[in-house]
Amino acid sequence: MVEQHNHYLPVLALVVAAFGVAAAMLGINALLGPKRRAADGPAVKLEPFECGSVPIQLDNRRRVSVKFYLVAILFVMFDLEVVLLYPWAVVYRDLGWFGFAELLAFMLSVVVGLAYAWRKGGLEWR
Amino acid sequence: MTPNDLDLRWGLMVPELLVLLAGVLVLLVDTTVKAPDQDRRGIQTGISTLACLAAAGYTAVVLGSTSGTRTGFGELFVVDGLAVWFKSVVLLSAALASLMSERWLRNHRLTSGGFIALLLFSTAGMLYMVSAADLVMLFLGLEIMSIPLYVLAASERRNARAVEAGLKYLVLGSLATGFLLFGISLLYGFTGLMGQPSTCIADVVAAVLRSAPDVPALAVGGGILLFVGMVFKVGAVPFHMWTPDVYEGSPMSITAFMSVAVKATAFAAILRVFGGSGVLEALRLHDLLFALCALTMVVGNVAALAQSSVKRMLAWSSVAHAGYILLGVLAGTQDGLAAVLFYSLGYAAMNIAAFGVLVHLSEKGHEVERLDQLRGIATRVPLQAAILAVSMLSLMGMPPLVGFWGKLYIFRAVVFADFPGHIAIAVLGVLMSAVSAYYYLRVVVVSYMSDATAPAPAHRPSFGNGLATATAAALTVLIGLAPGAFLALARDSAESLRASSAAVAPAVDASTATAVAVSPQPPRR
Repeated sequence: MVEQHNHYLPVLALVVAAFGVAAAMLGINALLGPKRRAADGPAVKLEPFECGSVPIQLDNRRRVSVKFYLVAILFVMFDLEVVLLYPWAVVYRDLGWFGFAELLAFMLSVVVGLAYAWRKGGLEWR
Repeated sequence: MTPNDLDLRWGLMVPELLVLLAGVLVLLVDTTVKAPDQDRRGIQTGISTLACLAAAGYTAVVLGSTSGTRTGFGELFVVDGLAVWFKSVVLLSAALASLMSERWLRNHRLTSGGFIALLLFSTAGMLYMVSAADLVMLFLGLEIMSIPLYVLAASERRNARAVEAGLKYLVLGSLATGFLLFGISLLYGFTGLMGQPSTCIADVVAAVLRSAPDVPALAVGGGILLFVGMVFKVGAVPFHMWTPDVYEGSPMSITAFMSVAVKATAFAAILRVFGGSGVLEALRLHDLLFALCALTMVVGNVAALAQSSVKRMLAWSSVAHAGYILLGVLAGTQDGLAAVLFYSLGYAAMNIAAFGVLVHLSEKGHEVERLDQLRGIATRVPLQAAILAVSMLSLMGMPPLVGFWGKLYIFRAVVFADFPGHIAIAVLGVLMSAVSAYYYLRVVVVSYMSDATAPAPAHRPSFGNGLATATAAALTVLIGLAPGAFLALARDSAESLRASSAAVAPAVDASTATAVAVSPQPPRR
């Protein structure tokens, strides 16, 4: 049991280091930094802290056309298809005709999905 | 790995493949057949209904003819009595729901392609979940079942309440799925601890029973999380928060389908994992389930009292019925399990009949929801009013109808079971079903004993919905008249569950006699 636990010592070290660094940063700041109450100090103290930019701009959000969403979803469909093709390509000799037929059936079902999207006008940029 | 290792027994998977192919066919019809929407809706609901009925027939006749447990596809897929029973219930509800959908789609001027295809894909997911022999397969089935339902709940997409229903179901459903996955991963870690990592349900159950009565916290935690994930789909208190809103916002036929088929599927999964003798006790779930049952029955029935919307009332009543069915799981005896199976079928029949009448009364563009919209329907549509009355009386538990026998078998199983407080919870169940009489009878009173305020529906009645309602009502009465035959069937089907856990039992005795956690190679099955 003891040897088994030794494998995890680096993880423990990482956890200790992570907490240690965070605690040190906060702790040293609290120890050495100037202490002023927000009410007495400058108004800057009440603003959210963001490095290098004004935190509140006019409008950070822009509306995105829903058309992009459709294209993205269709892309994901074929992206996933390719992801499944890779492992098959590695072992296609071992799987033989059986694997080929399985892959064909899978791709056929994806093609049906594409045909549906196409006929329904999912590929048109309207 | 060769095809022979995978053990591809396609004969076992015919119902799933039929339903999936029908779904693809419906999509193709949507894009290739040039016809008015009206005809296309007819063709698509027809395909869906016929495919579901054919699959149900194959399940009941071919798969149901040989008893015993058959596995295939690398021990991922199992067909036994339990699977045959619940698949028949799910496929029957799917067929009736597709028949009912035609009318709703026409009322709302929606095309049916995506709707019916999603319904079929969801059904396929249910079938896979019911037949899952492995926790990962169970998860896959659950997701294939749930994701189409999230979309279907929001199919009336210009209605804010429908969108709320879809979103709520998606967010809370995903959370529950997270619980389920976390539970599966903990149980996988537990079987690894016991010597052979496996997510095969039989292996997990065997490992739990072997380490009983001192099951490690890892397995107890995993079991509880898995249980919570499933109980969410059932809609038991305190995991019921989504039920009223989702059931209210969804299309009527989908509400009927969800309240019946999703519940049946979830109960099949609960029985498959926790139904073996001693599993609930070993995982320390028994007391938890006891509290869950009591809460579900009380909250479901009391909340249903306060509803002015019929649809919402039926949603809360489905929570209450989930409580009754869970009682059968709690009893855990052979009778209790058979009663769970029987009740799932009976609840499907009576609930679909009730929703079918509501679909019939719905006008173009809106649904019958408020109780006062049912005023005096007995004079306007006498047949539909009678069916509604029959389904309400059955849900309440009136003697010659199926609801009565369901409750009788459940309560009897609990009374004869042997766990502390079994009499008390049976009494609570009976009391609560007396409370339910108020809100079920109120519907009957309003439809028979008050004057009509609205004119009869002007549109022409839907053949599909009429057929679905009549079938469900006929089942409610017929099963009620011959409950013995169906109970015997349910008992045979539940037998497979005990048979498979009995196969594990010798291993339990052998290894509990010696040290618990050290056996390096636990026997598979």
